[in-house]
Amino acid sequence: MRKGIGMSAPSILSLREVTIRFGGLTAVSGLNLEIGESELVGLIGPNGAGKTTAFNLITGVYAPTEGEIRFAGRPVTAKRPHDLTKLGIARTFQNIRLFSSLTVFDNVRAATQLHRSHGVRMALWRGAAFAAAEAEVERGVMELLEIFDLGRVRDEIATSLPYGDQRRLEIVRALATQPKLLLLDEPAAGMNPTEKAELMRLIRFIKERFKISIMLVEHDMKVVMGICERIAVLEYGKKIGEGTPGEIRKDPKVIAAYLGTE
Amino acid sequence: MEFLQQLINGLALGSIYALIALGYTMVYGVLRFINFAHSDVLMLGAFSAYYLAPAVARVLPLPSIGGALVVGLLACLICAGLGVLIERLAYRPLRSRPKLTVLITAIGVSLFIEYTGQHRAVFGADTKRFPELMPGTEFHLGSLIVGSNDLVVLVTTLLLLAGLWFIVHRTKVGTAMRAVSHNQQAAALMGVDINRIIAFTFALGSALAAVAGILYALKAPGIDPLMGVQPGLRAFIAAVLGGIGNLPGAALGGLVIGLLETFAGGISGLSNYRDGIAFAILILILLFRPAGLLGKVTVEKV
Amino acid sequence: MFSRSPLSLPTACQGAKRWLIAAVLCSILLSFGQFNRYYLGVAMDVGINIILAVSLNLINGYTGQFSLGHAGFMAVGAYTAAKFSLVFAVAAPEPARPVLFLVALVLGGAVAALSGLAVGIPSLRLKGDYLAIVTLGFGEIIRVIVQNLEAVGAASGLKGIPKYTTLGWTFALASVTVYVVVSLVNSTYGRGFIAVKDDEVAASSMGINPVRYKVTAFVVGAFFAGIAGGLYAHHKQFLAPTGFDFLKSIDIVVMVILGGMGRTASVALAAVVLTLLPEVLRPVSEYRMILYALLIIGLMMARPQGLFAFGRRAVK
Repeated sequence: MRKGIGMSAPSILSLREVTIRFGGLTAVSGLNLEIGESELVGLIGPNGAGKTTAFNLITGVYAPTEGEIRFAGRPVTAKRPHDLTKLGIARTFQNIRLFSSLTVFDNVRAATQLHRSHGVRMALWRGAAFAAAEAEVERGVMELLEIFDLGRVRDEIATSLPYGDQRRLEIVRALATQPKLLLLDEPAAGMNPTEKAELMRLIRFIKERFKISIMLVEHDMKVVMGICERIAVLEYGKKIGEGTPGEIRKDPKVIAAYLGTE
Repeated sequence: MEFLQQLINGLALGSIYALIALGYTMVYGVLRFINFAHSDVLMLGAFSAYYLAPAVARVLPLPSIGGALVVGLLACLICAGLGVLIERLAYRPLRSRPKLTVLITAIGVSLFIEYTGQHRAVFGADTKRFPELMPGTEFHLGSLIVGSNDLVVLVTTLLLLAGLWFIVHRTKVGTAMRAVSHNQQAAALMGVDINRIIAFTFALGSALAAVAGILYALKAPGIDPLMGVQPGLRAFIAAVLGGIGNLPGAALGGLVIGLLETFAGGISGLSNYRDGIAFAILILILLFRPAGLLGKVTVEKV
Repeated sequence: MFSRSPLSLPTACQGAKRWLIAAVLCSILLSFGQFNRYYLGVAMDVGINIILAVSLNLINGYTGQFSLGHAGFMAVGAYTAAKFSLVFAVAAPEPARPVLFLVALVLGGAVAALSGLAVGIPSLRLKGDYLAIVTLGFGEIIRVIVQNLEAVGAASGLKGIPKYTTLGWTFALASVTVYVVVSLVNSTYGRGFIAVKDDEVAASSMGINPVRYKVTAFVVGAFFAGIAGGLYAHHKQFLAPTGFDFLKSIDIVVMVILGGMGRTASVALAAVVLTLLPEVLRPVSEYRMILYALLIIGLMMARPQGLFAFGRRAVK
């Protein structure tokens, strides 16, 4: 019996028979998926298998045509992205999407606001409560930046950072929303082997330090096999296999999907 | 009868809007920005005809169909040239800049043409009587009155629409235009001369605007350097209404705006609100179809 | 503006309010000065345009929308405030008038803010050119309505508005506008405006509700445009519907772009320059507007990021 999947650990995210169609195209079909608390799950599949679509369904960018999505025990089907973030789902993007006119510090700062009660009124009044709240935000942001070695560039424009730092900053920004589940969309894309090794260390570190569930979509098998506790394989929008990296490596269906069969 | 009368008036007005809207939408198709100066090209078309008419009258009889055709063709050529010139001088240097920059430049060009036109050394700000280019008659069908001008407008528009359809769908340059509007970089890689196609698009749109300007002037009491603003705005609405970048959409939008405006104008109490009606309709339609009647909603890829 | 040195946020908070109080006090003192009528008029135009440009900058600059309807909001505020004054203030005893004027201005701002809400709603679904044309259309609809409303003088205009606007009122309210926009944007909450401008999808994935920010920008921007309208009405003492057409909106947009979108101080400076420019060009008034048009074109060619946009925060 393998670990996770709502058995030993309670599941934080569950997809039941989730289907989405774009016109005549069924991008994801009858997908069932469970992610346990502080579990690290990988979602793989050939190009066009529907991985990113599945991601966009979980994060509310698309609403499913059929099926149900539950997060932390409650239905969240078709909730909007910012509401899901409030509930505890954060993500990064395949092609980095930082706020290009904001500094490193402000990129992270913008992501901290959802857990705070004040808005327009406090910002305008600028009283002691506001000062205290802003000081707290600054402490929190700086603490996060320091953990990931980005404190030294806090006042740089985010998009002027080197590629690797931008990827890391995007993860930090997602963490600033205090998620229970972190979704990483191809975090290793465009990285060299050294950077990939570092990324794997980083992901493991995040899981241990923040005690959160992580799910990643990734092409790079070495990265996925190296860090994921469980892997789900998609092909043509359907799940064709699921299991530990060892099981997946041996699964004939998965091998066929990746290598092709006659 | 009243209804039929309004229908004809509306169709005539709508045809003019459609011709102008096509220019907006074609430029949007290839360059993705709203060419605010388009309404001024329309005015320049009318003024070209105004100054050409006496000269042509020396060679050909005016008003006459032949004379009108010559005046119209020459005005088309002048405006096509001006359109290309505007693109070359004002828009091409900004091709790689943000669309907002180009949009503001277009507003600047529009203001420049309008204010220069108003200067006493150019056209002057006063309203001028537009010359009679064609013998005007009225046809009475029972109580229905159809002005020959309305017929001219309808026939000209139909011919031009057919011609445009032919150019866009049946010629090499039209295919290139569609390719450029679909994907500029890919078109360039396939050997399409982007600059030439964009210039051609401006020439074509401006020539249509010249015709629209003359047709509009035939129906209007007179012409002045700001005459393009109102029909330009309506046509602009029509283009967005139809789905900007979409040619049939622009034609459809023009007719819809023309008809609605005419019918609303016929209802007492509403006639004073004519200027606002087109916008109100546009806003209502965009609320339900954010990309216009025939436009496709594009979803951003994440 | 607030510095970005480490642990600077709390101190910046208190400083801003002190600046506002000082600016308002200075403005009130100005009211007691004696100035040449012409310069006084131009100075008030400057102040009103600062309010318009800075408030539009919240919508177009910081939040990245493209509104072409600011003159419409201004018209709503101008007519509301003027009508209020004509009905209530003129008959009121002298000492009550400043209070009533403030009520008139705030009322004008509030009604304009409501119309901002009405325009902000379509921004839920519309983007770019489509939003631009809807806001343009809104401005035109307002103008047409006003043109037909007998209660506000219809096409012949609203006459006899009391002259309540002073240099003090104008610059005190301009200071408030600048304070509000700067304070809003320079807060953790306010970074959301810029986040929405930079990347709406990423912003919503960070828990920022883009719709709320866009609508807030429209409501706040419209409120101050309404205030500016009220000041304008009680400065010119006459309102004509044609004064709030599409060209007026363009004028304000040009100020924002000339300043460099998303920079409050530069936009305010641009408002000053562009208000003074026609006055300076008075000797060549024949060519004034032609030069203005050429200036816009030349600027877009040479410095599209804005004439007064210095520093590293580049506009995309």
